[in-house]
Amino acid sequence: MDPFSDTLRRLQEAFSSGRTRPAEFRAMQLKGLRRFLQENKQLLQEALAQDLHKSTFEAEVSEIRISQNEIDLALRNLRSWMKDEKVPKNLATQLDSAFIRKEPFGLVLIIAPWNYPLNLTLVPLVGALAAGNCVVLKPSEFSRSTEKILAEVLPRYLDQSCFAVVLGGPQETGQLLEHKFDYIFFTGNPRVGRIVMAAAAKHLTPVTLELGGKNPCYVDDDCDPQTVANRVAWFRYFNSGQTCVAPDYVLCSPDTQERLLPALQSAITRFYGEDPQSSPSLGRIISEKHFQRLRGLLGCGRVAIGGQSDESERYIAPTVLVDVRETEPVMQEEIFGPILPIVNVRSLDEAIDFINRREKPLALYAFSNSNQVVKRVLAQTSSGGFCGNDGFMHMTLASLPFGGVGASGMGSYHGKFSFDTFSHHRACLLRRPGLEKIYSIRYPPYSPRNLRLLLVAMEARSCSCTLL
Amino acid sequence: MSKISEVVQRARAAFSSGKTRPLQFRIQQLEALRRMIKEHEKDIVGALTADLHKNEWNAYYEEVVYVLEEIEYVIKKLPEWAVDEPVEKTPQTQQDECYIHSEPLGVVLIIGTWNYPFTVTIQPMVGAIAAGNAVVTKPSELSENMANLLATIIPQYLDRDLYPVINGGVPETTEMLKERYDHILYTGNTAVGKVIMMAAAKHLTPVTLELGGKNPCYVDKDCDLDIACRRIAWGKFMNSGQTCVAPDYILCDPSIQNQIVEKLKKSLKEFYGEDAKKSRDYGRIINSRHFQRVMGLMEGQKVAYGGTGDAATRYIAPTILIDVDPQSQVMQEEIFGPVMPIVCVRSLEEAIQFISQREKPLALYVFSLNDKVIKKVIAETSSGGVTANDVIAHISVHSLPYGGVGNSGMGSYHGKKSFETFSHRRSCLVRPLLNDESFKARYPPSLAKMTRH
Repeated sequence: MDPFSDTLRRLQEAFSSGRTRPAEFRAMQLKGLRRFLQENKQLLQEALAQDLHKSTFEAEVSEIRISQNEIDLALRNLRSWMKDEKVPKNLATQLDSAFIRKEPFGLVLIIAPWNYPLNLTLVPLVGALAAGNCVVLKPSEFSRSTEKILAEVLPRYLDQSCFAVVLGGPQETGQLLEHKFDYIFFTGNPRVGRIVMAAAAKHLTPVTLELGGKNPCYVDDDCDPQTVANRVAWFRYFNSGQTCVAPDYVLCSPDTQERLLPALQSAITRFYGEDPQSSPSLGRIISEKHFQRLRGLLGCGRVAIGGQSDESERYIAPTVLVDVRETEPVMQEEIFGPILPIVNVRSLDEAIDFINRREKPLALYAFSNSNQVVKRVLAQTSSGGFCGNDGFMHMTLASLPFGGVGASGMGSYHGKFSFDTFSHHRACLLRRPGLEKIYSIRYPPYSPRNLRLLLVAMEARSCSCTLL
Repeated sequence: MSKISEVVQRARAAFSSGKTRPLQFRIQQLEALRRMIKEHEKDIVGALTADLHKNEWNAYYEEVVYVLEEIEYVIKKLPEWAVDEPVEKTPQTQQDECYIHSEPLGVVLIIGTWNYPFTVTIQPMVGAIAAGNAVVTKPSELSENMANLLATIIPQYLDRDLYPVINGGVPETTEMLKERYDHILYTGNTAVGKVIMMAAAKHLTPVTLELGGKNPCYVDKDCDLDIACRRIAWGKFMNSGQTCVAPDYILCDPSIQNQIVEKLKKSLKEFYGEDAKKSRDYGRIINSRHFQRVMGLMEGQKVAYGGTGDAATRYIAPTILIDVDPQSQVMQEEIFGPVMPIVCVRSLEEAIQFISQREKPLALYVFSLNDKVIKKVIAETSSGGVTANDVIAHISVHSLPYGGVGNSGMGSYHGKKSFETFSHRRSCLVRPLLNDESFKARYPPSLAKMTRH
């Protein structure tokens, strides 16, 4: 027995009934989301603390506030985003009405990960609801406390005829993916991304895949090491390194490494104290499996800073590794933990080559006092997003699309990009029955005269000949 | 390494050399493409005549002009599109540079199809080249003459490493799909679309699929039937019905069915004469298999006009079927032939329901003098695109995206949308590496700012 058929059918029927189309309905859903966050803030903070040992500060800044901002942005702009988008017309279409109509796709599936279980669930949800879709949400089973709230509390704030939460592990997700959806939004790793896209292919379902990669962080010789260390450390060890856009590894010269190491130590001590394990600001690893995986990576290269771990708490110290070889596991997989390897390069060219030899990452960072150096790294590489002289700040602007490229993903969202992602952009041309004389040139029988006229018009390029 | 693999690798190496980055290079290639078209007009027409019985007019008006206009438009706009796009900043980022930077994806694969073998293969190429990619092109083997022509002339005008043309059938295409691309644009049918997307999934390659469907054409009682039928006849029977955005079937009230038939007949006679077989302007079916398929769709139907065909020349007469049963075969698959079924519905609501219960089509048409009717049909259905009071025209507006939804496809292109489809829009934030004091507030320990419950 398929546990999902009934739910999906119900949502599909609700969509077909047109319930989600009016702006009022969508605004009501978004307001429900807003209330959910406001009324359950403490509950959510506790859940995030349980799942990831997230500090109140991190929970506020990277989960709650971001979600709230997206909800507010969508509520403020909903009607303007929903409006038909008029497009420029040419001479032949002056009397016509040409516009792009934004329509919901229908039934949307959102598969969310465990590392920012609130943000990465709610922000896509905002887009899907604002765009007028019915939504099935599959939160991650690994962030169990948050999952519980999303399954039991969140639905009470939304119209449940148009929204459902489904739970389960890989098997249930696989079963779910056999069904037809009108859009699938997936955040997770590339391996599962391939599986999701292959499942989507069976139904010709369009997808957005927010995946990951090893985000390089180039540190130029021309920089202030402490400033760089502060920024790199903060973004690396935030959420104990479990961030898809965290700087994954550093590329710098041996000289710069010499200057960076003490600066990194200083930053770590400043942020997390002498005993990071007792700092309330440092998170924990999500699961035993990932903990073991990360503990294994500690054996790569040489530990320059940190290296301690505590299985009972799934704690791994903020760590820096040096003398790391490209072939070692720590340079082969996305780290997703509080470990920062430093790889030496002898020049900017070598750094760029190193980056371009590898898969396109989700984010790319370059630190230098020289704007020229920063711009060169940008120009000669590719990545989902880029930040010069800081960590993943680019994510905090809703006016910038957030997404990957190549192995780090396809599609993007945030702000209006979310609304557009979850909408079908329907090209519309409304003509009048008049002006038939003008169109008559297009009808057979075709004479050499018609052809000469067309060719002359093409030469003159004074109008769009394709509309004659 | 197979020959196909070598060709793709060479294209990738050429891309990695950075050759395509300067706009000047891309524009030169597009200008060369334009020269190619102008200097080989006769050959292009010849290939289209041989493949599909198209004449000079069809070749220009239905194919070449689309591509030439696209090239013109893209060359003009490219400098504007390629520029970094500044975005709205937050209070925290006022001192920073925040913008979207467009970059080429890398190696794009374009798989063409046979019905407008020139346009459907070259028009996407224009956008892919403009966006700075290397482009591997696979014309359809069914329009053999065009495939051979393109393989011959493209290398004479465009950079050979960056823009190879690979010909072949199913085995070659399967082989090609094993390689890794950075985007695949496929035009064709739903079944193959799924295969392409599956293959793309292995490499996490984004795809644009321009597929098909049964494009409904609702004719309201309140409309100018003469004009409506003339426009419908034009769009339906062009290229002998083998157009992915042709009106596939008509939905109308039974009270106007006969009038529609009469007016369609009148237009058809004006266009193609009493015997369309003798008309220079009437196309032929691409091959025997499709000929048999389309002829089969007429079986058991009430033929109001036409209904005959000649297998030797793959000619099928312009045909109108009336009182068609929605369950019959002709209403189960995309016709892609010169057969127009008319299905009677007794109200606008019934028409809308009929349309909504079926797969989302590539195009939808509605003829009415009543704006409210038009608005209602659009609001209560979905499709790739819509033209009201005409057919096909929406795909010729450069500023409108051309693509499907649901079974009719995903993604879109044409004009600026092509540039966007074949580019990666990279979010960029660049700040000065200044004193860190201004960011002090964000660093731990945060106990002063927040208490842990």
